[in-house]
Amino acid sequence: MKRYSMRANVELEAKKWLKFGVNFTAGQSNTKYVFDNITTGALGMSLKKAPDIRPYDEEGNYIGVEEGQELGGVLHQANPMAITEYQNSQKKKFNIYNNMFVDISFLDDFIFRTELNLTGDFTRDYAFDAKVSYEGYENSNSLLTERQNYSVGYELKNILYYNKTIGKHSINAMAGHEAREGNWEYVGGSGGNFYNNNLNSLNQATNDSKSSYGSRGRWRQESYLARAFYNFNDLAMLTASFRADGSPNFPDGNRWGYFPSFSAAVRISNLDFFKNNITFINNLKLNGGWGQVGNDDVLGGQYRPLIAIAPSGENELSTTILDYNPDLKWEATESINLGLEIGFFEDRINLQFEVYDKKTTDALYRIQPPLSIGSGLYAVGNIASVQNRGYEITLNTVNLAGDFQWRTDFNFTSNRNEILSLGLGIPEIRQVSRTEEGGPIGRFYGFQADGLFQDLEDIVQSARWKGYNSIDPTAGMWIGDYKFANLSDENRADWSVPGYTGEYDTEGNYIAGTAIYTGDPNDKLLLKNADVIDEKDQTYIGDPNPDFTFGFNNTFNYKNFDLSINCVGSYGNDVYNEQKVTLLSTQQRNQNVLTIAKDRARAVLSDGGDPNNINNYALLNPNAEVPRIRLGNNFSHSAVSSRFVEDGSYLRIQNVVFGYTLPGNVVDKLKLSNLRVYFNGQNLFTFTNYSGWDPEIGSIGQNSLISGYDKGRYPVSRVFLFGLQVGF
Amino acid sequence: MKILIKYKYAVLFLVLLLGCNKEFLEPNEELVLSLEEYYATLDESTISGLTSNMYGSDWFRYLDNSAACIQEIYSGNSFSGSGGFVDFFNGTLNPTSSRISWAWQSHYTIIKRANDNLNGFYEAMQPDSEFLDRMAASPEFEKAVNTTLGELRFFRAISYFNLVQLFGPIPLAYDNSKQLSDPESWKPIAEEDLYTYIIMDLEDAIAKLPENRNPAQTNRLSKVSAKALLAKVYLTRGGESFGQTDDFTKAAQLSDEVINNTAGYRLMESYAENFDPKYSVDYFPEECLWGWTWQWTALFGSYGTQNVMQSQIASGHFTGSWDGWSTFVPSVDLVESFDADDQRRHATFMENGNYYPEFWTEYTFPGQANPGYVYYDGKVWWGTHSQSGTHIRKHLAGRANSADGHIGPQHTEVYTPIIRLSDLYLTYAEAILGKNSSTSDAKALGYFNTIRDRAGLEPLSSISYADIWNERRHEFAFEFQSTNDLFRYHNLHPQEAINLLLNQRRGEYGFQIEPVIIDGKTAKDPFGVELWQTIPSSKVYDDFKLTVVDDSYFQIPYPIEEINGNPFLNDAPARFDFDNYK
Repeated sequence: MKRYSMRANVELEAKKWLKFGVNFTAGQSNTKYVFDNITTGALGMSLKKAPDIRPYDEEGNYIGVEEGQELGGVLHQANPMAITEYQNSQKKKFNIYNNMFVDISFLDDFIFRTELNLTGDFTRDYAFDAKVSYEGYENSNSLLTERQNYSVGYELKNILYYNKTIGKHSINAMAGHEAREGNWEYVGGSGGNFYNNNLNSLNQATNDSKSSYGSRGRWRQESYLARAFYNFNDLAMLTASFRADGSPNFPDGNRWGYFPSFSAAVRISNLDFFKNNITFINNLKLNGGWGQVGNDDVLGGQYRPLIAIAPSGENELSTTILDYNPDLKWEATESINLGLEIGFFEDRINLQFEVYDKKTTDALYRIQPPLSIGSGLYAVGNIASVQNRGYEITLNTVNLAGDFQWRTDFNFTSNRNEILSLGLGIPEIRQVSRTEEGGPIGRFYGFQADGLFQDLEDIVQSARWKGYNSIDPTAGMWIGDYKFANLSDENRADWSVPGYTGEYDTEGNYIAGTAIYTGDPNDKLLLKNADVIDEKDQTYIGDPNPDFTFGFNNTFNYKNFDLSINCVGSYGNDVYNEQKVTLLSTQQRNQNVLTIAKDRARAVLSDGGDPNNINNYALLNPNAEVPRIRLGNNFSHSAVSSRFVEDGSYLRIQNVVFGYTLPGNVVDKLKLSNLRVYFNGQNLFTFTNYSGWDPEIGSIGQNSLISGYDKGRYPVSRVFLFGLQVGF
Repeated sequence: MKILIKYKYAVLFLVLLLGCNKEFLEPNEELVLSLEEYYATLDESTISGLTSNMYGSDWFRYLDNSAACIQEIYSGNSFSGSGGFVDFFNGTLNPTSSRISWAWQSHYTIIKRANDNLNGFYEAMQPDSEFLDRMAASPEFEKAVNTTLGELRFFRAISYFNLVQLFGPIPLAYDNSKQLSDPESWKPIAEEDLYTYIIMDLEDAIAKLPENRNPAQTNRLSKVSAKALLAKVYLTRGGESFGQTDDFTKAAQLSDEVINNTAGYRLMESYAENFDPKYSVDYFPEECLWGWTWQWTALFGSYGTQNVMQSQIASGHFTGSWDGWSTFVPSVDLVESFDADDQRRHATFMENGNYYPEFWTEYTFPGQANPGYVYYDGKVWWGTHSQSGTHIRKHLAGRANSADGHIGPQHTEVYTPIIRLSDLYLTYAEAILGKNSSTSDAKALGYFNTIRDRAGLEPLSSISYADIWNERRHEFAFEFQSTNDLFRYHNLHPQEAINLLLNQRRGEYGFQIEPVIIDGKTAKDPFGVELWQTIPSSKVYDDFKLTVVDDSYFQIPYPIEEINGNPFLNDAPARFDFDNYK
């Protein structure tokens, strides 16, 4: 990766009442990537390939797969080392930010500022999938894909400021108008079947392989705003503000949203009686506030019926009517916060504490009808509300002062979110998560694993998996398969197990312990009113939201040496280890598995015993984490269950800097003003019980409905740097 | 001077207070087409684009394995050991079987498209509207509008018909935008009302679609297509508990009309002709009343508009490409059920030594006088063989990137027949049989034996339901009919249908393969690949059979996505308020 950036700030006071300013930033970067997705990318394939597969043959050619080692479809035959060589992409970025303003001062206390901001973002992506062929794998058509994004935005602000101090009273006020606009465009194309892998510009692609696409659009916002801040002698402070925001995303009558806010603070430590009586506290401030902010980001939703046009076949266009909602309006978030700030012993100890309660009402949210009614081309409505409550503590202490200095900065955040209402009340399902009214966002939802089937009687007495009606090693349930907790009594039904018989009491109920294998499919063991494991037995099996997150930074200084250690952590967040699901799957022949599979459960057939008779098996490793191997559909393994939920709490040493500043006399000789050498280590160590690569997963595609879902997210890298800081 | 300064300030405040022009917040009209504008500007040349997706790509999700899983593997015509297919093979369906949701999604996407457009027309065609004036002024435009309306009704009807046969009571989407915020309307609707709805749609489609097969666009629908579908709808409803007494009569009457059409449809002389890879978007055979149209483009990125069947059913040897996965192959049960003399056998699946001049048209196999493909099992995928020693022949296009035509990996343009005229011959016989145990009705026998005769088989003198099942199975194997046929069988003769499934040989042959010897040496294909075949004498059969089949087998479970998204799905079926029919 290569990166360049530049920045310039210029301010010019032309007249006493006239000031100009320009801030300019520009940056450029160029990054190369390797195709590394977990299913068929280099990383995924290197994990899934059988460990004894040869990467090269005797002549040094790549080998994708050898006879008897096939792994699913053709993409799974690729050699991961070949992927890194033949599938490449790169991204070029260029961005500029330009801010210009003119300040006009008048009547002593007024300043009028006109400000213009311009932003530009330009990116260019290339991906090349080269033509390559080796044992077991062939990509006969090379393919180049390119895309260019062009986006420019501007913002015009006209704001009048008024600042006045009269004795102990001071007022800062402002009022103004803002308008914002963004324009985006993109264009992309692809082509292939190149003469060879080096001649790969789109001009060199065959005509019938070429395609192109592109679009453009615009967003806008307009605001009027006013704010006043009153301060009495640094003792009492009041703020009031008001803004009116306009957005073209809403129909005519709903275009404007109005959002006021107020706050007040008292610095008690400035009261005379406090100053005179309490000396160990140098600062004590209480503050509180209430306010509203708006959101107009409707993510593709619209208020009028529009037709989508898309190509169909070679020469035709097809049309689809998009869903719409004529009642769309601004979403508002209302928040209340209370804070306390205390400084002890001239700020040797400084504590800040804040509690907040934010409630978003009329939240813009996708109307998500079932598949039968909707089609994925969704409408958006103001149909959700969310509450976030929590507190934050910041503590800064100077533990040691003097020659040996030691400072600690500690922060702690605890947040609880709750969905107060969610559209039509239908839970949101994402991969393994479920979000519903009355609960936090994105909890994991699935079956509660309850050990393994131990023997015939265990299967007979447990609830069977829905759709599985036999006791059978391939099509039914078997010893060594996973058993799931039966949480719901609904959907009971008679179960007649073919190939087995048993004894019944006078009412026809099965007598425990009497099941016998006969092998005759006409024999049926009748279990009356038997339970099933079905959708109703699913429950919340984990919560990716942490109980709290924290960070602390210790800084030490001794003579010319400095050391800072920064740690961050999270506690109480669960992770769903999907990578483990993939890497323990026995559905796919010839796929590598995690080493814990060595201790899997095994149904061991006694010598010469009938393999269809379950009583001829002994279960080895009856409490194993990994169930027996089972080809084909495998509810035991693939069901979303608590088996794959792990505690994702961690403490990470994120950043360590150790520096030495050269003494003044040495620096002087070198005609320098300052010279420091330092060592920097990032992500040095993570303390965690999580078995995957990295417990810090985050959300998928910035969608908070599904977070902590680990599909093999590339872990953060450990970085070591040696640095030299020179001042002239 | 002071006045001037004050004036300046006034200008500043004015800038502050005026803000933007009101138009600043008007939505961007660039690249956008409103509903009114769209219907106002439709004309006879653009209107066909409105339904073009529904002729092909809207069915892609169903085509791409879902149809085969549900109709062929589940009914026992096909073997598959692949993950995701095994549920259908073992008869252990559950809501999470992904192919179920693809079928559901594909059909409801078509229903939504039909609803949206029918509602769009409904809005545009208000009394005294400009749209109606334009129709009155131009007979061409009026005809084009009616054709489109007829097509929309047909597509909605066939989608609901497929769904109701498989799933039973299902939600009825009739006005999606309105129903979005009305969850009560998501309840499943009684099958009886769904059939009424389907019949209303088809009657209107028959009234509006063009009289004749369109020689310029042979894939497009006509009245005859809609009549054929309506015949099948009546036939199916006749066997249901809520069937009407004259359903079978109507089915027979409509079938008869379709068989004796003068609209340009006819039975092809040879059965195999229907599956010639030359038939694509450019031309459908005259026997096809309704089929899917696929578009070939060289580009992999255009996935979703092309035919991908070949990539699933052929061997990698046949395609000569990275596709050809033999994902599902003919079952032993199907292969053994075919009469040795049945000419449909050669066109339905390939057996060792079978010669196909329509494929590999540039290459000549050893021992052959003319170019063409010769099938041998074995060596088709790293030394393994098909579980029944055969591969499916229908749907194939040929070798990728060769003179065989527009063929690339996962990309062919061969059409997919869904309703062939021969279906109506058998539908007539089935309708006459009705709930009787057998029939010797002369006309029914005549139609039935026409189909047998074309296949080179002796005529029957009496027909039972088992005969219907067998004939349909052999006539339509791998044409996505079989599970519907089986469910109809079960409606009339539940125990027979259950026994049929229990007796199906769903296992596989375990046999050895040996090289093909021609002229005393191991034969090689035109590319130098050694040809291997199975030794018939060594066939060992693992006798896998379904162990549990009960009435629940004859209804497909709702997909998990619908269960999770629709809180009313398990409610008792509701009645449909036909005031909402549009």
